Amino acid sequence: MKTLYYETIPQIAQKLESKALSPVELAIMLFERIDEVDKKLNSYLTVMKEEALAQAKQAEREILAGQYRGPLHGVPIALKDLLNTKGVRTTAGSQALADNIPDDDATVVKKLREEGAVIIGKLNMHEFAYGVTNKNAYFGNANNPWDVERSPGGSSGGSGAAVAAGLAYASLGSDTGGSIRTPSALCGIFGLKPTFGRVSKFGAIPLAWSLDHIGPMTRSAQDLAIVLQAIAGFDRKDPTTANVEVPDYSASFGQSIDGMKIGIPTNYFFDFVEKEVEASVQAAIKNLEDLGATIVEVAIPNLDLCEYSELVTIQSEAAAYHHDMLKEKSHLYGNDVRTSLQAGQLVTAVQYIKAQQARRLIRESILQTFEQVDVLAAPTVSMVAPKWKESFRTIQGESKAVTAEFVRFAAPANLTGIPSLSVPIGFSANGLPIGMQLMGKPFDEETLLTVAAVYEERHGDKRHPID
Amino acid sequence: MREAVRQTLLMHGIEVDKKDYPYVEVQVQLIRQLEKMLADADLRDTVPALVYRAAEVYKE
Repeated sequence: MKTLYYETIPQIAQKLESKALSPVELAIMLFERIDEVDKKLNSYLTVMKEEALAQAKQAEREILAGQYRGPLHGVPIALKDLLNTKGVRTTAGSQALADNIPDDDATVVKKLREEGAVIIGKLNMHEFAYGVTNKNAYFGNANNPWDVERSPGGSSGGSGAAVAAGLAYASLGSDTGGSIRTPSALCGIFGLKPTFGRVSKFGAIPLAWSLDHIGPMTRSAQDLAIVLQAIAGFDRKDPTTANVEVPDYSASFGQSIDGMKIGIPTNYFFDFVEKEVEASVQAAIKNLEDLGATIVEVAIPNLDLCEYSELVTIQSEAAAYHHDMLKEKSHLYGNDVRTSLQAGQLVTAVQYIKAQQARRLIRESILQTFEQVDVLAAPTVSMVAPKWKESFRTIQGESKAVTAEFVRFAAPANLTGIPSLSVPIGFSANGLPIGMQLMGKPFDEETLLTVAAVYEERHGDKRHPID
Repeated sequence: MREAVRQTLLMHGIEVDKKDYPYVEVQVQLIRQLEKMLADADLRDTVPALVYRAAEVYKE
């Protein structure tokens, strides 16, 4: 059974469909592993044993009756704990919502259930997704499975840790400034922030409405496609979703990248990157060239405006969402989140508008770049996972704040809404994962999945953090 | 600055604990610092991206 922990969704689905494995057996196996391994990782805030076993039994009955629904039927999936689950507490990683029991599922949760997925639990996260380390004073930190003395990244840190350690076959995370991609890179898994509007956020506790995205975190590119297929699409309950056709993402696989133009930014994305990370990303780009892609160097104007635009937008929108709760329950927030929310109350309307003006310039610059290339490739994060005690790290002679570094390369895709996918491309000398970020044209997740799958097939490194 | 922060937050009905001030102030200063990056960008004729819909970025 041990070998099943790290199987991909198609591999496990084949066993479930052929009745070689029961969804109930599979769920119990994962619960045993969570009991054993998660003492060190603290990736789960709530394990939904009772509910999940009921779902697994239903899946078993349906499969035995020949009513197989598809590749997620009977597959255990966990959720970042800001996605509402009917009757199951949804805390957003905060003491302020420690007893919050939603009346309904988030749209993405409903969609997963319709596909027969077994929801096995709710995952640790940085409080209210307002932070990138997953340091959590109330629930405890989620730890990186490659070295528990290090951060898994955040805010979807529990998702990164659980998927990397074989405690779930996939997770849904959220990404406002890298919160899917950063933990994916630091934990050595695949993470996709889809195009803004591709996936409904109804029933997700927001951080910043105009920057938030929901997306899958998995151990293979094909798994990303399967989960994205299940959750994508227009939702009348979410006014930010786009009424555009959802393609068949399975068509992204088995494709060549011959002749595909991959842009390598000459500014911003390679500034102040740790040597090992830069060398790995450059090697991965060379591998893509060897696989047939054409590498094109591109300069993207206005990216130096990203930090201001991202920070002011998050601070303002988060301050608006939390305004009333902060007045009533400020003592229930962690120190870092409380002070950020207080600072957000002080951002002026003029600053917010300027941030949105800057955002338009950034977006125009990036969209113009995509007239020359199909995909942009860059590091996901400038460093490997830092130790918990590290708040700063010296990169190329400059001291850099870890929290700002975790957002720096991710923010352009949040500000512009373009899809962005983190691919695991290797390890540092001390065995920590490194990720490469692929960014694409709006609503062209397919091309990103194709590139990720081609890379994975030829150069994927399938080592695991915990046997 | 501390008094300005205190007064502004009080207007919002939010009382700040003494130990929180340095953290709030540093973030206000960071935004002011970053705002200098806007100096070289001509924003006068730039319409802010206020109504942010995916359709805006969708290009055939």
